[in-house]
Amino acid sequence: MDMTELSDIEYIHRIRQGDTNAFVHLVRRYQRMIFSLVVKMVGNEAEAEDITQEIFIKVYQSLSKFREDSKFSTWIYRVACNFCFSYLRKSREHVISLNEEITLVNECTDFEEQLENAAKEERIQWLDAVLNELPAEELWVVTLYYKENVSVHEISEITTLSESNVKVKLYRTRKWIKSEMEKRMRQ
Amino acid sequence: MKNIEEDKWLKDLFSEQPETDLSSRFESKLMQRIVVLEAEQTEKREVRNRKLELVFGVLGSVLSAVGIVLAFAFFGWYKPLASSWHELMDQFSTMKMDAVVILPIAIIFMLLIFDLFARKYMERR
Repeated sequence: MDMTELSDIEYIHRIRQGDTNAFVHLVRRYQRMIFSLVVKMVGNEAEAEDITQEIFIKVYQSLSKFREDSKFSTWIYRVACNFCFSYLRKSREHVISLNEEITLVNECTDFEEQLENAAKEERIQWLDAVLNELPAEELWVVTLYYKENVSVHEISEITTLSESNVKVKLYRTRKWIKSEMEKRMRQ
Repeated sequence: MKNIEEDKWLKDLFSEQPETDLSSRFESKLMQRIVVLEAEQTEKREVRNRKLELVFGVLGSVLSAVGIVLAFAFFGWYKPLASSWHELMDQFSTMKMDAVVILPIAIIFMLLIFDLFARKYMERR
């Protein structure tokens, strides 16, 4: 049978039976998603690649703890999430409090129009800069939702936040990103 | 709370973000580390198994030796040494046992110890 056609669970069973090479198929399936999330979290590709390696090592070592009661993608995101949070707790202490900043938001009615008129490179640069200021949890939630199209329900399973809490975080973070983008657009 | 679907602009912004690629060596480097990790774990498991075998080997030998001593004491080579614990303790304390009983016990005990060390030696090879 072609190994690339197997499901995540089938690969996991093979790994548990001692077929180490089956792990490479899971790596191929999830490496881009994990890496793009980690790049957003740390903002540096070389550092992100090292962290992604560590996350996959952690995943391999913890495979016996995967109880198959949730999707493997949810579980692997959770492992990555925990790893990144503990990593960022040590290295990213300068993050602002979203609760304080959110009060500064001024609604701008023609925001989307102004955004469309800006050059694409500028938009990319602004978003990168804004995301770099976000606290780890908010950054994780917003990236999963907007970049990876993960559902609110799944994000709540990954982060162990309630669904309503995830929705509140998404709402507040989106508002904060909007206000920060506006500041940059005015400069 | 406003509904979270009013966010097309943010979805568009995220979709504009350029994809970042992992280096070509990522996969091979990771799998090399996994193979090393697996070898280390196998070695650790083997060391732990060897320790357990040794512990159970010693325990088994001691229990066998005690069992043999008691069997000789109560059933004897050709006549019992003692018919009760009290009598047995008395035999040991006064060293009334003769060579016919002590010699086979000593030989069997030495064979058990020899067997233990022989097994340890064979495992190392």
